[in-house]
Amino acid sequence: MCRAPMPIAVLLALSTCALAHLCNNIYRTPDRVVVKPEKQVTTVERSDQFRVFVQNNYPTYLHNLRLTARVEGREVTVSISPESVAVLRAGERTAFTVRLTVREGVLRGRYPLRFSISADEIGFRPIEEVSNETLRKILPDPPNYGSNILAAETLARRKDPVGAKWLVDFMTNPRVGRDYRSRAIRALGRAGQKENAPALKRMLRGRDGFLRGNALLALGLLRAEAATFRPFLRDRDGFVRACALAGLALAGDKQVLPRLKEGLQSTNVYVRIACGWALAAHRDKEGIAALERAFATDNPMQRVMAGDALVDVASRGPETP
Amino acid sequence: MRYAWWILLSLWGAGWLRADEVQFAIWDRMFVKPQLPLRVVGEEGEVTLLLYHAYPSSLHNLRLSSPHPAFEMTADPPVVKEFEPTVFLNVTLHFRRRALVAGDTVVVPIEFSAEEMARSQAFDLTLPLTPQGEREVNEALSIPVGQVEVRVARFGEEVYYFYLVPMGLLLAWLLWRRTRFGG
Repeated sequence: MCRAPMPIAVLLALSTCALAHLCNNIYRTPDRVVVKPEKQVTTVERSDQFRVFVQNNYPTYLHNLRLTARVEGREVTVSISPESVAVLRAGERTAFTVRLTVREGVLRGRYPLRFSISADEIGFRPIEEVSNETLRKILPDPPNYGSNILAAETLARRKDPVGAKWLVDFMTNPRVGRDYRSRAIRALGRAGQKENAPALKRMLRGRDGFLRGNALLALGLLRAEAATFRPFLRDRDGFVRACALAGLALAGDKQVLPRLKEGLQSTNVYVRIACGWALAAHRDKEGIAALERAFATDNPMQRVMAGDALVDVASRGPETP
Repeated sequence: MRYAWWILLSLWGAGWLRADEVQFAIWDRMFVKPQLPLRVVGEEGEVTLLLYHAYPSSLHNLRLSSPHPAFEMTADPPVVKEFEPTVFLNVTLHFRRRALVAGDTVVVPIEFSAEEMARSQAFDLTLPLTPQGEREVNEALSIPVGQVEVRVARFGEEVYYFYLVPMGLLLAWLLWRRTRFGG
């Protein structure tokens, strides 16, 4: 009689294996929305429901978050509630309930249930997809330097050597105005390729303080070593000193942030932009406000520098200062 | 009088610089996304487009239009006077059908133009015309994140053979033991 429970236990174990297998796989979208279903496999006779957890790992809000699901064929119908989540804060998690219903007379079988996610902030597409070939064709297109610089920056970011070479040639061309040269310098930094750092360091030997300052900002974007910036902390030019501090902060140094806050009070708008850029990269609200104020101008040189900073800050992830 | 040429040249140069400062050749830094869910467009319908751009300067007088022969489209707002970088913008497109269109979906080109852009550029927007098309369009605009397996089971198959029959055999065995050995 004492051996009687054994077959019962075995039978119960077998029935459990046959009916459900739980798995905790995590699905990651190419972006930062983590989707985790409660079950990897679900066995349904007539109906069943389970939850799907969604977590926002973006550093900002997600609005109008929706989970959709589709089953091949018409044997199983699926409904999800709630239909949408209006707002999901950074780091916040929510759950959708998935209800499955099997139609009458459906034979047993296996049906994949595919999930998709959407939110207002994810899934944007450029209006125009551009190939490297098209971008290269834009480079010699005169007299549209603004476009040329953007095209070269995109090429450089895609590691096409033509883009970086064009930017280096352009920023070292003394016949070009300093506004455009400074745009090219910042573009070389924003392209994010460290192999371009030596060309930017050569710009630090120049006489023009505006170009030297922009080269320091670009080197900060490339996270150059601290020794690159230190000699310029005592420069005679106030803009260069501010850019050296900003470069340190952009490269990851948080100790200089209080000094950058002082820079926001400067009478020189370019000093305020440099300090605001570095502060905004560390998610400082005063820095962002300073950039927005500097952007609201009709002066193109000032507006484009503040615009470069705003675009750079907006494209940063939570882990990069 | 001899300075007139220099004055003219400098004015021309200033104008050239001004134009150049705000000219962008391609629309690769302007991003668009229809707000989900998209609903079936019958005789009328509307879609909200979410817009964002990463040009280092504002775009002025942004306009959206559609040359599709079967749909009349109006945008709200009809003109965006200034569109700043890194700012989200919503533009609602109202569609009115002018002719019959076959199929579950229809592709409607939406043409974008702005002062700073060297030329117009069309973005293909797919509108759902039937419930089936609505499912397809919304799914295509969502990001796939994975799948789970649904196993449909039927009473009288697994349950009967793998659960009740062994339980019956077990019960019979227990009864047999009780009668054979007296409990």
